[in-house]
Amino acid sequence: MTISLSNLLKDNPTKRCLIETLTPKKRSVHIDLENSITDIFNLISNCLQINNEPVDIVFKTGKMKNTLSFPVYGKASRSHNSNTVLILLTLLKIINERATTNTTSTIRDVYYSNVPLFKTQRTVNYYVNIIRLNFPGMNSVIPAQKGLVYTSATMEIYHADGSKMMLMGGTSSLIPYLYETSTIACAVADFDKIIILEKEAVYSKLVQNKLMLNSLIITGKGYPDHLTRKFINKVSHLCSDIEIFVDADPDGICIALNYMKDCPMAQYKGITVAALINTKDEDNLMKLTPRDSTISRNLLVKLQRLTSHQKGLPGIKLALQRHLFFGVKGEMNSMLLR
Amino acid sequence: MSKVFIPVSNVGKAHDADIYSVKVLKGFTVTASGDGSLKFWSNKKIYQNDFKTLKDDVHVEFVDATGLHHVDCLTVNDMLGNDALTVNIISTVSFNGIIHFYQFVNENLSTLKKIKLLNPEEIKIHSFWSSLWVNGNNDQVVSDRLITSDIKGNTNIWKFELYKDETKTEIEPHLTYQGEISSNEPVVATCVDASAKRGLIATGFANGTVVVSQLSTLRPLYTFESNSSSTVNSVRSLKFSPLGNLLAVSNDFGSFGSITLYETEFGEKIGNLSIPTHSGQKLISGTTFAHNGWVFNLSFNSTGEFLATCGYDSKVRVWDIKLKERVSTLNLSANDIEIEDDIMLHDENGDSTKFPPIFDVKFINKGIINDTNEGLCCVCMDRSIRWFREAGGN
Repeated sequence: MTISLSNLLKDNPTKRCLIETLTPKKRSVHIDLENSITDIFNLISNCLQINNEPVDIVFKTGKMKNTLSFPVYGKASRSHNSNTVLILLTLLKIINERATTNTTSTIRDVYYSNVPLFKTQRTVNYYVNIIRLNFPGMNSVIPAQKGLVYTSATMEIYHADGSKMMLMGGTSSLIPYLYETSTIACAVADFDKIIILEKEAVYSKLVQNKLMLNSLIITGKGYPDHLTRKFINKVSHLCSDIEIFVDADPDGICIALNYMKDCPMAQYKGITVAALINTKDEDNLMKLTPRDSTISRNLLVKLQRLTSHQKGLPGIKLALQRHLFFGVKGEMNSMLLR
Repeated sequence: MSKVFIPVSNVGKAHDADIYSVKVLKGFTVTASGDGSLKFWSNKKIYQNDFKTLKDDVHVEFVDATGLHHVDCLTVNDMLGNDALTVNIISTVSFNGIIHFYQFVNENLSTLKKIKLLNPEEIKIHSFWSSLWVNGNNDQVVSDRLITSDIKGNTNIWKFELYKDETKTEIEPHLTYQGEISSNEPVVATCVDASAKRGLIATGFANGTVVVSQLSTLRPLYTFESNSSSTVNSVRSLKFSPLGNLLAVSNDFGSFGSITLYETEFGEKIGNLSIPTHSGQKLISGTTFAHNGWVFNLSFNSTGEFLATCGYDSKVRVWDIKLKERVSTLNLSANDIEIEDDIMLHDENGDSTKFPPIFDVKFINKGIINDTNEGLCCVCMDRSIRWFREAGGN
């Protein structure tokens, strides 16, 4: 039977009927735990090759669900739609391969395996996070380790599958990969202190000169990644005295807040702007930029929404207010590297 | 010649966070703090040196959880009603850049209420930093004004009207926008002051410059550049003398604080206020300093003969303006507080407040905490408020 517009109009007198008739039959494929990745590929290929119907790929993005159609049909089409499908399926394929061979790749490696497709590393990061949302516990593609840890006593990390990792005492190493179920134990009963630092330079200085005995020193090199925060959360039972040292600027305080989110007992210890002023060395001080002021203001507003179970919050608020009132900021290096 | 100031009263841990600003009214000393509240301390109790019950009687008005850093008040007399009324309009700025207004009548805090002088859209477009009321001295020619500075460097001016309309029968405070003195570059306008007598307005910036403009036309007249070679050269405070013929400016000079006097007729620099130093302590370029720390605030006495300054070095200094000499220095320590439990030696982050930096100082007119003498009030980083009066007199 041939379809012509006049025939269609005859059969479908209203606009709604016409749209309904013209919309192709489609199938929905849900990316979630119920379907394994192999199933997802089978469903999609069956749909496209055998049934000749478009697919709706449904997945969670946060609280909302998103639907991508392939091939694109209907009014909701967007130009980058098919590209997004491609990225998503490519990533799923990579994750499936890694999972079957039980290996892991970093986001960076994945990005460089197909730069023209992903264009930026951020894209990979974004979609890997989305896939992790739909497949919690997916560990095949992970961010490269960023944080560093120095321990004065040997620590052992036990994973759920029975494997074990050691962090040798007196050495500095990258923060090891951890799973939700991993546990960390330490030979000595207690550390005196757990020190969290913003700056790697300060970390190196402390580690090289062996300035801190019987302690655990951690740096997330600026804003901490997931792994560093998870690690701190898992070692927090080893010591009750957890101290955070960051720059005396709004970003530093934002970083401190980031750490405190996963580890509420951690205490903000500065470097405070008052301590910098007391050095009487004007080279340690810089003026607050308009951007800094805005960050401080926004953080102060945000603090009001945080629950008050974090006992360190008054100190954080005080630090932010003093930044704004004094109009200056400074870096921790100048204080701690002496 | 020296002046001696003796303590009248003090209160420690007056707020739960730093106290950034103080304003002395006829009946109350008002403080604004990072804990987000205004507190009204009874001057009568201070007069009677009743420091033990000072905290019991304080009136607390919670304003904004992000904290407050500036407070000022305009007092206007309503001569036309049957009863002579004094209307007080308080403005206070919170750390999120919002300005809040309160009103109370006579010395009766039970009439204290929040009022809306600016609509939310107007408040939203500015990110306020400081606010100031200029009293036209009930002169019919010069109206009262509200002046604000914001973090982008703009100065905004509103005219204040107490009455609803020309008939002056109904009290309904309101503001009409006069205009803006805009800044060429986005730099925080840290402080403003104005002189109704001379018709001048001065704005100080975080980059060390001061712009003096005409109050009626808002046209800039003079620009004073900072003489500091340091990158830390923010203007912390500026004040016109009561007659408006002088402008005192406090600048950061690295970690020191310098105070410069300008005359306002031709915009000439008159000189610096400085303490005698050994040659070894003299700064590069020969400039001398007034405080061994930033000078946070200045206050002229009512006659304009004396200027009180306060600094990060936990000192209040009083200067003779004519001689440009220091006539008094008050060295403050956290241990001065009368009630021992209220002494605060460390803040939440472990920084010492034993020698507390002083954030604000105000001269107090005669008759408020002492009949015959003037006084001083200052707020410090150890969260204390201290009142002093001049010694001697008849």
